[in-house]
Amino acid sequence: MPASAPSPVLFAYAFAALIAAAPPPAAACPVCDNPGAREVRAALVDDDFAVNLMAATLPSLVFMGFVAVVHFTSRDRGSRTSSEGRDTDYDRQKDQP
Amino acid sequence: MTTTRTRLTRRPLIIAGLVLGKGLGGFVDGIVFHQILQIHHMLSARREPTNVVNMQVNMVWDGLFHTVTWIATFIGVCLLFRAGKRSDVAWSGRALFGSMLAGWGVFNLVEGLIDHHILHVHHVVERMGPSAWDYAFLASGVVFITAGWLIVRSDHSDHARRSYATDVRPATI
Repeated sequence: MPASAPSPVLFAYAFAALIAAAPPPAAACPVCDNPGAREVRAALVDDDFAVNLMAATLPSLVFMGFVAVVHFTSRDRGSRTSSEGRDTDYDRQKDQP
Repeated sequence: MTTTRTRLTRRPLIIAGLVLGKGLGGFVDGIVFHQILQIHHMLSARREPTNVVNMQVNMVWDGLFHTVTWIATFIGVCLLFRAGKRSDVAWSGRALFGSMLAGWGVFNLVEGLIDHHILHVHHVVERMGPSAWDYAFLASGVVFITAGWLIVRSDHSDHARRSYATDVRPATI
């Protein structure tokens, strides 16, 4: 049986998949080199940068301060004395004369 | 019978749970509100995401928020791991869950107060501006803290001292 040529439809699908897989150039990613990207970079470090940075990090810093206060000042109500000493099979074997 | 009396503590577990709860609660906020529902972004009250540049700027700041949240989660995992290695830590799922819920609540309360009410960088439902949803967010924090604290307090089980670290047993074949 002679080898048949690839189907034109299959070839078209393969070509379309290849085109779809190739990413288009990003329009304004922060590290791109185009006018949109430069605008994004300028907006990231504008006059409000300090406030924006504070907004992103201050809640976490306050939270960590709260946790530190809990850690260093709280009385451990959960502390208890346990008379566990669970009698396991190993313990029983070990205690036998 | 071998009897061991050990002073047990839940504090390392609770501290780890608080930090983990903050991290996971932050991810709920970031993933659900910022990304899936997109009802607000980190700076959406200052830079309305109505054009590509503003959306990209918000995306970067959302990423920084997620970075801080990831770090908190990582610290929480490390604290939990360290607590797990101590034989004097009462190993209680109820205490861990309750403290995680409380940590999530503290995050909601602190983040809501600072970002929504003091700095006004975004609001819960941005298209409505300052709204009752901002106060509902604060209320959710109070509810989570209360529920978590009650869950931790309700843990009265007699915790087992995890003696595997000191009680090395010979392998049986």
